[in-house]
Amino acid sequence: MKKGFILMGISAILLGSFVVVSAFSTNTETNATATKKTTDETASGFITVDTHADIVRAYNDIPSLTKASAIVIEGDVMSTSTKYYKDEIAPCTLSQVKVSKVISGDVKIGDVVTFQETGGITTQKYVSERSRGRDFPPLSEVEENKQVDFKINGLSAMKKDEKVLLFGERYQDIYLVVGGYQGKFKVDGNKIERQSPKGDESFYPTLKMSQSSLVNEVQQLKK
Amino acid sequence: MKKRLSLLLSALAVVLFFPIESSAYILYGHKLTNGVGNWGKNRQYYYLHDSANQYKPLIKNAWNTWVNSSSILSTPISFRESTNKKASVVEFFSINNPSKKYAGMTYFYRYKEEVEPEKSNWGWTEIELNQAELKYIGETDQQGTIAHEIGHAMGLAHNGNEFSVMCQFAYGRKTSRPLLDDYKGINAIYN
Ligand SMILES: [Zn+2]
Repeated sequence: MKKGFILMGISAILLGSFVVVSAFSTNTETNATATKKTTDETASGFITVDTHADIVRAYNDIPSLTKASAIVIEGDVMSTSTKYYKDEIAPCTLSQVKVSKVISGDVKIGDVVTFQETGGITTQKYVSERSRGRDFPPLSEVEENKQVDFKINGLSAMKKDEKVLLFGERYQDIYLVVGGYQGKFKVDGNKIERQSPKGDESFYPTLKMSQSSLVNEVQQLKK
Repeated sequence: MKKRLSLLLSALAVVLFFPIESSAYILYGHKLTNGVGNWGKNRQYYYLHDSANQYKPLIKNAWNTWVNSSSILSTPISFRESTNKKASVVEFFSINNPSKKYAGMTYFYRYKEEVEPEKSNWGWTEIELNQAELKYIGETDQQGTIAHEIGHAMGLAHNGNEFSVMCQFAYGRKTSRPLLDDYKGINAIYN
């Protein structure tokens, strides 16, 4: 009987240790992925700047995204431009998106709609000016004009020629991606998936699914 | 019986090789170049831009939860507010931009450039608080978000532990102040 108890106790400890060990291995994988991503992008010629941003309004599933959105569309990014706010560090990107599928909302296939996101392509000059001048030495003209991909939690703003699926909320006369990066899906054929913010791979739901099941779910909810 | 014994032995082996503590925080792998105060021997300072004045009491409280930790676990953190921007290593300011869906952002800098904390040490940080998003949560959680950003500024990354201030609010953080794992993380970097 006593032995039984010892065995039970040990099994409990054993189980606990396994949980800890698996948490460890997930983290290691996470780091490896992050490092790889960065290397790839450096090869594309941009300097990357990565900012840590925290959200307080979570959209962890399709119902919450749908509820917050005025339109849900699939589209192609035709062009982008960078928008700046006075006295703010992160630039924003305005993307012209040509609608290829309407899942919900008052838009038509072929319409071009403007989406705004935080982050985007800027220059070294801008980054050094916005750092509030803490002993930044003057940059040479070449350095000043170097292109910077200003990311938010490892995620880039939309880029020309990307195919995207977007949950958009109305903002003035344009749209914002619902919840920052949370309302943007990468499209790969019939599959869609959200990109995970860097470091959040183990907790962020990527909502990977087929477009047809998304269409069903959104249209059911919008009824 | 033999089976039980071997199970017992392997269980013991696992317990010995994988200590249970030391796991519930995640670090960037780099740090604030001059440290976080070295137990008061090298005190560090933070600075508030005028734009952040409305959050002054919350920022002060959030710092206190990091500095006065001895009832849970002592750390080398020694920080005080300064009115000298250049002497500070953590600067706060706030914006009110409803197009940016982020409540708090931390930017890391080193001489000459903005850096990523996974790749190099940083000399100072800027914490940007967005009123347009913070207004969706109560004051206690606002203070929690500020404490979370301070954790980033000192070198802590996100984790999924609800009882860590480094769990994102959006993933169900249940504390608005640092707890044991957060202080352990600081000690792992600076002690
Ligand atoms: Zn964070």
